[in-house]
Amino acid sequence: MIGHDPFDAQPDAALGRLLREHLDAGDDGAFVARVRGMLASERDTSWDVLTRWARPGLAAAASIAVGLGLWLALAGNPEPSATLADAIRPAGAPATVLAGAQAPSSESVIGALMVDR
Amino acid sequence: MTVVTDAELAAEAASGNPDAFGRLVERHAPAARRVARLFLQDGDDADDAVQDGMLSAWRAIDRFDTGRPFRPWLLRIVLNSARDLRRRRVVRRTEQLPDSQASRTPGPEHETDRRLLRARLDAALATLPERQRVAVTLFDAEGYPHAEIAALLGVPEGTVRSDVFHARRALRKELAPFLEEVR
Repeated sequence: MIGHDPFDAQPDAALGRLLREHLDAGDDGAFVARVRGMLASERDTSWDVLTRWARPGLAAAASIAVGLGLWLALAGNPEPSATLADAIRPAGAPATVLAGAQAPSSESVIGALMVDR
Repeated sequence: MTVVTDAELAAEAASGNPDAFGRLVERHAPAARRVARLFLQDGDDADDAVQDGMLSAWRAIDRFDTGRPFRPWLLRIVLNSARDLRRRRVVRRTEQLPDSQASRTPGPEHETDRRLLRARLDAALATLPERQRVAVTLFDAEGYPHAEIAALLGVPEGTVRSDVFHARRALRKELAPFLEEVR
């Protein structure tokens, strides 16, 4: 003991040996095997959790994709913007006949139809 | 044969290889168990803490920076587990105290008995502040450099040197006959 510099930068081998022996739990192999086993099961458990989450997740994603696809299809193919005037207008009848605020006179209607012919 | 470094094993483990992490456990478990015993003063509790710490490290391995040393990173996680466990089991430890107190006064006729050495060491370690216990054990028993211990404990390197000095002085005084035997 005497002659040891307490600030010695080298480990004290004798003291270290006593401490190691004192604190040694022994059977490191069994301990390591137990932890290794837990690592494997931990990994399995993680995959199980992911799998459990994946099924409903995929189903939800598929539903959203189908819904989105339908919405996009409808948005890309809009209904024709037909007006009431277009619907009731006879083929070839000029829009001016029906566009006025006042009801057209019978002469103007017949005239317009005759012009188209 | 090429020795695979901790960093290489940690990188493999981070890619999901439990066997690589198992090899790291194999390398560092003995020291981790000893240090955990310092904290918990109970072998079973120490093993529980090390096991919890190892599993936490495995879950966090993808966040480990392989540019830094693995050993202090792992040991810090283990020490945190030991502290958590000690907080949870503080009542149990208090109940165990009378046994260790009783073992401090064995008769002189058993001077060479291993049990006396154990009792002396228990008593000597119990008189040390926790940081000194850990510092001297990591330095003298595990061969950690001062800088690594400082990083692990979150204190300046000079503090670690001072802790090792005071702890050594106390332990050498208490264990003088045993140390003479093993030198």
